[in-house]
Amino acid sequence: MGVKEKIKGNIQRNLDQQYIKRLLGIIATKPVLYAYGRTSPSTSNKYLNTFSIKSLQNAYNGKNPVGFGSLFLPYEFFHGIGATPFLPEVMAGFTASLGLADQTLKKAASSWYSQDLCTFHRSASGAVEMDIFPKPSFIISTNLACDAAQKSFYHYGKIYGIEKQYYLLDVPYENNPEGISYLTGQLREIAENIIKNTDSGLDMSKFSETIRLSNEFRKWALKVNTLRRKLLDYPSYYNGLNFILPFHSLAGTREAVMLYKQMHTELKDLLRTQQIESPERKSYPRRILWMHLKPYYNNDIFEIIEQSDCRVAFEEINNVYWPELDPEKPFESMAKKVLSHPLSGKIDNRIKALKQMVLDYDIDGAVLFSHWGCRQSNAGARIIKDSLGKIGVPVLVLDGDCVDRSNSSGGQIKTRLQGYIEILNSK
Amino acid sequence: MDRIFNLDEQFRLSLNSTKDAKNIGWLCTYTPEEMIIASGFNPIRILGSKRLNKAESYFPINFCPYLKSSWEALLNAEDTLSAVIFTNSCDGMRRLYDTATHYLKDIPVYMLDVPRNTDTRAKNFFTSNLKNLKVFLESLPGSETDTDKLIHAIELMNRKRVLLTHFSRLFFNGNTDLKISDYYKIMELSTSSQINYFVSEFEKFIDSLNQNGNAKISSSGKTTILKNDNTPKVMIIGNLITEDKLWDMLSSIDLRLVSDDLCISSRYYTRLVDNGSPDQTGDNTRQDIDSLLSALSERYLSKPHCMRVADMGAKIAEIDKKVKDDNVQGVIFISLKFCDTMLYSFPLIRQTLSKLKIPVLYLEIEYNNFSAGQIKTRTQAFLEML
Repeated sequence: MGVKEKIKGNIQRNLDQQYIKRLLGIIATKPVLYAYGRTSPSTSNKYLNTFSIKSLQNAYNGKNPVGFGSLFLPYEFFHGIGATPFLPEVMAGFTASLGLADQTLKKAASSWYSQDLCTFHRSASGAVEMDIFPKPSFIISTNLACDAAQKSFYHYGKIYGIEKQYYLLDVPYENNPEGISYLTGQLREIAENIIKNTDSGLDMSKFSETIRLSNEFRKWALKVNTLRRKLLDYPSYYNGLNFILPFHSLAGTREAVMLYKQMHTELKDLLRTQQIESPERKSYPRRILWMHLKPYYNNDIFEIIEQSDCRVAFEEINNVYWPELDPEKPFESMAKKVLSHPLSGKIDNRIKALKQMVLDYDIDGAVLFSHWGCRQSNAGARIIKDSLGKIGVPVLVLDGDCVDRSNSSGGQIKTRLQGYIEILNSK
Repeated sequence: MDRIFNLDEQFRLSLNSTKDAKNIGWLCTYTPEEMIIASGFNPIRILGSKRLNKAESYFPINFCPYLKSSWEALLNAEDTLSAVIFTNSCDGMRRLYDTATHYLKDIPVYMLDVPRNTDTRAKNFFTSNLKNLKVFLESLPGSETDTDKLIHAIELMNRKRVLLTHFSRLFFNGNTDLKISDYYKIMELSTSSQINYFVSEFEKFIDSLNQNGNAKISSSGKTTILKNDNTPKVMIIGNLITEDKLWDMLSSIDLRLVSDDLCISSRYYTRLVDNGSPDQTGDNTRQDIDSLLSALSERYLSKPHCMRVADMGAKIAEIDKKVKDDNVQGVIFISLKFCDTMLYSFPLIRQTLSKLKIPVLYLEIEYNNFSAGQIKTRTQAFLEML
């Protein structure tokens, strides 16, 4: 049994905060990280894993105030005030990959969370009820992209006894001057309240540097995305859906810049190799746009795609949707970032972004992973399907569950995916 | 005294009042009906179709049954609605609006942005959103609005709210012989009929209750409870519950409904618009449009909260107060399936009620697809526990 599997097994048997803290304390030391990094197939992969581990260890070691945040917050906010972000929804993905989801979901069920609800939030809620996560000093969530983030995070505040330090970033429907003003005011007020009430040395002195780093990260992420327009193949270890944590929570840090700069270097080399080889290629893989997320437990979805000579050319979640931030106006910039998100407001925003991705990445087909309980996404499936269908892109709506393997039929997914790929390949 | 309630008889005009009216549909109680009335239209709440036919193909299986049902109603209503106003109350509602913009070609639709926060900043923001709603309403053919019309509309809606509050107090205090199903039929009708007809018939109906009932309303507005029994006193908390079979079932068993927190009833009518009109302030200061819209914003963001509100602490406090004020002994929490806003709220509500030592029964139901037998058994078992 490999080291990773041993660690997984130990965590499953010792699922508590103190154990995780101790484990991270060991794993996140320089020698261990170095050794672990050497097993990585690439430098960017090493950065992805080691930065993720470090950010978790920072949250668990208790040295810095921790703030829980929902996924679509502007994480420059956390880094700007000097707090350590912790993302329960992303951690729910980790519970799936570590084989812990059945425990956390069971706890959620016994705590009266309905089975109709999204398993990201249910698993996170179960983990909070089990006291697995580090205790936060404050909690921020937003109604972007879904109601679940708002509702569940307030409850976390109650469980930790910090409901007065729960803040909802109420994202308006329209991206217009009134909406920007409304959101800017909230961001500023939340920052001031957190600093006043947390009493842990948080302040706004880091905003300028954070915004500068965020813009740098954005620049490299855009370069990476531009390279990907022409890439035909990817290394086997590469999956764009593994970058959720750094893409969101490391925005505004040096680590995000390092990661994306390195990724750019590697993908540039890869592209150069492919361009040299391309005249000899007999066929080009069909290019798929992946919408929403993926199952985070072991599965063979992407193997099936690759074995059928298709490639996921791009993922919706990696789209750089926001304008450059203005270091002179950090709160207004962050408000504009939030309001620029394609999942904000009407579905036409999402469709517009998807259509652009179809053009940019020369997409042949699109898969919408229809995660159980994600009503903000799934209820728009027909509109997305019809809209992309009108521009010649067939859409597969693939029902499944990103976190709860038992709620997902592997056989059915495989059959539907294979059937869809046949259609793509016959075009 | 035996008196059989007959909705068809007592609300004859209201029941048929919308057929020839210029109607604008709405779905959520954060929609300011006053503005619809002031622009010359009749606000009518979309309560959905009993049967689903076309709507299923537009949405996934695990989607709000009320919204699916409403979509079915909208697909069949193209000739009868001049417009529909949506709100961003929840993810489902946003997608229903999107679906309407894409597939409902002949009915103008509008999305009213309702904040989840309720502080001053949010109220100012909502006021600016109401200005945009006004622009939309004025763009509709046949629409015309002015300050006087809005003042009148506010007075009319306030009158309806006063009547509904008074009526509810009579009902929950046990001062009528109406059944639970009767009460909620009237509540539904109050949202889906022409307001002038409804208010007129409702006033007469309440008069008849006062004359024939065995309790009087004192000048302070408090009623004397004349019934005194050991029937369990129950509160219902839920979302948009309009299931006739549920109400019939609850009417058939031995419970006293003393309070509720539903968007078909108390969350709809509680709290008046304070427009500073001569009726309320005693002076004759004329209001301009901006201050009237501001008054609407204040009312709608201050009324009893929907579970979508940011400050769940405030919502919990509301429930806590009602439980104590109304001497509630047990709570029935009823949610339509797949309602994230309600379902995520339940663990917290349950915890709160547990601290108050109030047992709670959790029910999830479909819309227009109700298993009466099963729910009755569970409810009876719950009441026996009380």
